[in-house]
Parts: sequence; C-alpha cells; structure tokens
Amino acid sequence: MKVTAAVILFTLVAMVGGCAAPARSTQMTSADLDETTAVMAQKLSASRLLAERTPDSPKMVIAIAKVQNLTSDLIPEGEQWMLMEKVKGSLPLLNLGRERNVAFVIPAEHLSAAKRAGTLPEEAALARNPTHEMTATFLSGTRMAGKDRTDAYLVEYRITSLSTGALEWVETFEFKRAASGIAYD
Amino acid sequence: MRLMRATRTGVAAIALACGLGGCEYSNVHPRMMADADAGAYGAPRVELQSRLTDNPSDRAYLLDRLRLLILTLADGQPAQAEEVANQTFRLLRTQGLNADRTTAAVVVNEGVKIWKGEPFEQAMGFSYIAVQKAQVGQWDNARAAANASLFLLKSFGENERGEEMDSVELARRAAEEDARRGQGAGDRYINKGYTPVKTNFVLGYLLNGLANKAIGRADEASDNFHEAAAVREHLKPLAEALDAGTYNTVFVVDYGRGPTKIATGPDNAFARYVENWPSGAEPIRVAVEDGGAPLAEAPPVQDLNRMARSLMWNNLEDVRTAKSAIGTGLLVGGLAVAGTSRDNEAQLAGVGAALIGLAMKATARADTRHAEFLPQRVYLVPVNITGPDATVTLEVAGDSRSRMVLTAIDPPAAGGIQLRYVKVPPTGGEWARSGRVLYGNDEYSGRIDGDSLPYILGGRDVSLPTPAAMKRYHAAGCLRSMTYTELENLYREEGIALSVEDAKGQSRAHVLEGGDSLVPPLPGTAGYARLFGQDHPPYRPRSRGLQDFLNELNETSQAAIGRPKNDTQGAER
Repeated sequence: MKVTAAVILFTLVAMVGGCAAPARSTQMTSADLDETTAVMAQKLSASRLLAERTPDSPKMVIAIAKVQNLTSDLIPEGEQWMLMEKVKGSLPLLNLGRERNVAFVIPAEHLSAAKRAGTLPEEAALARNPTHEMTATFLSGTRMAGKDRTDAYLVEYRITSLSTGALEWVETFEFKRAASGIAYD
Repeated sequence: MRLMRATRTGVAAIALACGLGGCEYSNVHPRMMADADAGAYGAPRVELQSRLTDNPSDRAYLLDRLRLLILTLADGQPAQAEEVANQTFRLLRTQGLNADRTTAAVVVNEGVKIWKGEPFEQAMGFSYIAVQKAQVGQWDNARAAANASLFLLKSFGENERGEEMDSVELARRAAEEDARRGQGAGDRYINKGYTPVKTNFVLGYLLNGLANKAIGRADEASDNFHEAAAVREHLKPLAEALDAGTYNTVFVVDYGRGPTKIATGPDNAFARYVENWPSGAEPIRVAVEDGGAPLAEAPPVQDLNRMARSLMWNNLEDVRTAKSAIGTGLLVGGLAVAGTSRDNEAQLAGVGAALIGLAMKATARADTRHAEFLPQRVYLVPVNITGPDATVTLEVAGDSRSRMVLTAIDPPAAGGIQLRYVKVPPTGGEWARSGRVLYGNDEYSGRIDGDSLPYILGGRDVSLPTPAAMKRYHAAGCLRSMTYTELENLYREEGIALSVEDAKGQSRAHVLEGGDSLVPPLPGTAGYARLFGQDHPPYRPRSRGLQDFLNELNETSQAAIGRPKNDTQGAER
C-alpha cells in the first residue's frame, strides 16, 4: 500500500514538471521564425514609413533580398527567402499600391537566375527600377557553461533607400534558446 | 532444474545484450570501400541513399548521413547533398543526444547509442557541411557550419614525459583515483578533471575565415586566418595568402584514407585508431591554365591520423572502462557467491549473476563504428581562374598517382569566391589524369564530337533540355522537328531527373553511369573528372516511349544521327 502511494506520488511529481526533459538544442525552431515574421510584418504595417505615404507620394519600389544568416545555425536558402516573403506577403499589397504608391518587385537574384536558366527573356523586367531594398540579418551569440548552452538571437529587418543609402525603416526582434546536455554526446 | 533455469537466464541475458548492444557493427561493405577508393562514388552513394533511415533515433541515422554527405560532395553534387547536410547539422548540434541511452551503454554496450562520432569526426562533419554550403554559394551558412566545428576541447594535461596523455594513461590515472579516494573518484576525475581549451582545428579556422571573407566580413576573416597560423606556424604563408592573396577559387582537397577504429585492450573495451595511410608533410602542387595561384604549393592543413590519436579529440573511454569493470565485477562476484555459499538459492543467484557478467563482458567491446570515408589529410589550395573552361592540375609531391587534372572550371559567375571539393581517390583510374571532356554538358562551353545529339538518343551530349541545347542540335541538323519541351518529356518518360528538385533532393547517379539523373557534377571535382573524362557504354532505353522514338528515328534517318550541320538528311522525326 505504501509502495503504491509512493509510486503515485512520484508519478504526480514527474507530471507536474519536476522531471520535464531539458531542451537538447539551441537551434531556432519554426515557431521562432513564425513569430519573427509575424512581429516584423506587424511593425512594418504600423511603421511611419508606410503610414505617412499617400497615393501622391513618389513611387516606392521595394526589392527584397534574402536574409543574411550570421547565427550559429543553418538557415537553408529557401527559408532565407521565405522569411522575407512572409513579411511582404502579410502586407495588403493591393492597398499599398493604391493608397501608398508602394510596389514590390522580383528580387535581382531571382531575375538573373531565371534569365540564366532561360525561363525569362533577357529583356524581362527592364522597368523594374527599385528605389528601396528590404534586407534582414539574423545574428546570434552563444554562452556555454558545462553542459548548458544558451543562444541569444537578434533579428534585424531594414528598408534602405537605394538613392541615398539612408536607413528608412529598421526594426529588431530578439529571442533566446537554452539547452542542456553534453555537446559531444 | 533450478541450475538449468539460471543457465537459461544467463543465455537469455547474452542474447539480450547482443540484441541491444549490437554484437555486430554496421560498418560499410568492403565493396563500397573499394568503389570509394577508386573514385567510383556513384554506386556507393546511391546505395547509402537507399538505406537511409528517416528515424533520427536510429543508431545509424547520423553515420550514414555523414558517409553519404562525403561521397555526394566527392561526386561533385553539392546540391544533392543539401538535405543530408542540413539533417546532419541538426543532429550534430543536438546536445545530450544519447543522454537517455547512456545507462544502457554503460551496462550493455556502447553500440546501443546513436552514432555521433568522436569529436574529431564531428568537427570534420561540420566541415563537410561548410564545404557543401560554400559550394552552392551559401557562404553565410558555410560560416555557421565552420563556426560550429570550432567547439572547445578537453585537455587533461601532459604526462610525466611532457606529452599529451593517451586514453590508457587517463584510465590508469582514473583507476588510481578510485584506489586512493574511493569508488567514483575516477569518474569524477574523467568528467571534471580537464581544462576546456580552444580548439586546434585548423581546417575549421580556415573555412571560417574563407566564409567570412566571402561575405565581406574582413576582420573576422583575418582573425580566423591568424588563429590558424597561430596553431600551426608553418601554415602562415597559406593563411596570409588566403587573407590577402588574389584568388577566386579555393580547392579543399582530401587525400589518403583516414584511420580505422578498432577495439583493443582488456575486454576490447578501448577504442583505438590505426593508420591506413601514413602522415606526411608533403605539399600539394598546383598548376593553372588560364589563371594563376598565390602559392605554387600548399602544405597539408589537417592530419586526421594525428587527430584520431589525440585524447583531446576523443571521448567515452570512461564509459568503456566502466562497463568493462562492471562486467568483470559481476563475473568475479557471482562466481565467488556460487562457490562459497551453502544456500541453493544463493548459489543459483551467483551463477545467474556470473552469466550476466559474462554476457556483459562479451559485449563490453568498444563501438568501432566510424566515418570510413574521412581522408588522412586535407589541403586548401587557392587559385585565381581568369578565363572560362580553365584546367587546374593538383598533385601531392612524391605521389604521381594523386595527380588530378580538373577541367572546365569557370571563374565565379557572380564574382567573389567559389569553393570546390576534391577527394583524391587512392586507387583512382586514368580518368583522374586524362584532362579530357568527352561528353557535352551544361558546365562546358567547348564542343565535343557527337554533342549534336543527346546521349539517350545515341549521341554524346548530356546537357539539360533547354532552348540553347535544342538550338545546337537543330543547327547540326538533328531533331529539327522536335521542340525542347518534347525532348524534356522524353527524358521524363525515361524517369530521368532534370533537377535536384526532380530527384526529391536525393543523391542520384548520373545517366552516364546507369543512373537516372541528368544533373551535372560541378567542374573542379573528382565526380566531374570521372563522369566526363572517360567513355561510358551507350544508353539503354527504359521506356516504351523512347524505344518507339528511336525506332522511328532509325527508320527515317538512321544514318543521319550525329551528322554535321547542313546535312539535309538530319535526324528528322
């Protein structure tokens, strides 16, 4: 009877969280990336850069570049594009065009790759003429002590004027991942 | 009767231990090794791809991926290695992967653990991921992978002779600690008696430097090059050339066979690496047609024999020792009880314990799974390619069989730096030195006899079906009523992948070698030299569609196949 009670007690303690398995990796998760793009899209939508524009503002043509990865993790190239496209895609693009005179154009890398592959003619997108570039950098710093490791991630999205080089919009987002376990095991 | 039951228990324990512990280790088949030694990477990588498990908790998940990664890179197919590189990175970066299995490993056998490799294999694994990323132009990801290879190492200091301790000395000291301070002191010494030290992994520093340089982070690049020269002073000229020299292409060259892991010592509980290829300081010589090189010869940057010998680059000896001791303790203790007790139950328990002890001793053998396709040494060779279809010749001094003539290398399309990985096959064939391109392909702009017709239609062209390729066929008077889309459909009917996406990101062999991929290897790799530098048997159609097409072609204009342009009897459909 006492044994049964002890087993139940142990199980309860374990379930309550005392024995939760520690995280085994400090790598970014898809939830981190989803949250990053959602926050950035919201910040860009609410930014003065867009809010202060009218249909009569000079045309703003934004070319996007893929994310630059300066973290300790891999970010596959497709994901690097996706992290930009998701921010762009969450904006009301039609309204932006109509009410703010803002347009997005095909990235230069995609254009030249398509021309090299022959899927777009040489004369394609001649009138692309971007005025701004949207870029992003993911950075990270690592701290290790014994079996514990923490990676702090900093994400920065920017829109830069191509004519002046001025940084017209910049936002950051931070998150942290901690893990425990022998690194080589 | 009870004695028999106890015996059965012991036998069952042995069977269980074998089952759990893997009395056999999943090393690669000798045929695969022979193919890899000969530079015939296609067949082994396809075989490895077919046996890959999708289950990350499978013991072979990581090892087979690392093997596949190396061979796919050696075959000049970095894009096909993308998925496997990402999966390898994900698991290598997972801490305490075997934490839940450690008890089983101590008690039964290290083979129950997911293979994660010794630290030197892990560092090399990260390097291959960096090489894969750099070859596809993802230098920021290459930086992440190279950086990951620079993890801290454990230093237990030096022995009485002023040399780095080896695993046997470490075990002896741990045993002395046990004897002096009681059971457990030895384990504490092994687990905490070391100093974390900065790595001496020169290849990692150099790759990290290159990656940083390629993405315009000059200061970080210089720091890494400087670090490499600080670790190995004789690398200073190379580090300086990489930091400030004029070059746009860097070859990472694997040479010789890496060491083999064997079990040795009491109960075969210790692992030791034995050399397959002697270490040496011979430089690699480089000659460039249509370009130059900041250094005419470069020294080896990494010696894997040396890494494998170094205690800093190894681990888990404690586990092996512990389980061997447990096995011995149970055996001795069990037999003692069986021999001295007058109590039948106690005698039976003693016999049972002894049998279990025997079972554990039988399986206390060190896990000898290792990455067989690692080289003995690695070179880094910067060159400057100035014109298209350049030829680069590499040869390790004093070994004419190592000569590799690499053709069809262009300068980087988008400027900057490009990286090429070359695995010199220890027993490679004449193709490695031929310097020829015998089949038309998308990476070569020169003309080849017979490139006016696709290989699958009897010609010598394996270009992808594009408007440009079709124009060339038409200009030669061949396939004039066929569009490139129709040719593409013919390839698809044959089940031939025209892109890495078509191949679902998997490692596939080229059609020239009986495979089902038309994706060309990167020039400047052993895969390119082997595929296009020697003759292959004619293509054998697989689909009814291609067979019908060929029959039709033969009926109307068999003689016209491959005829020069202006021939009005060209291969018409």
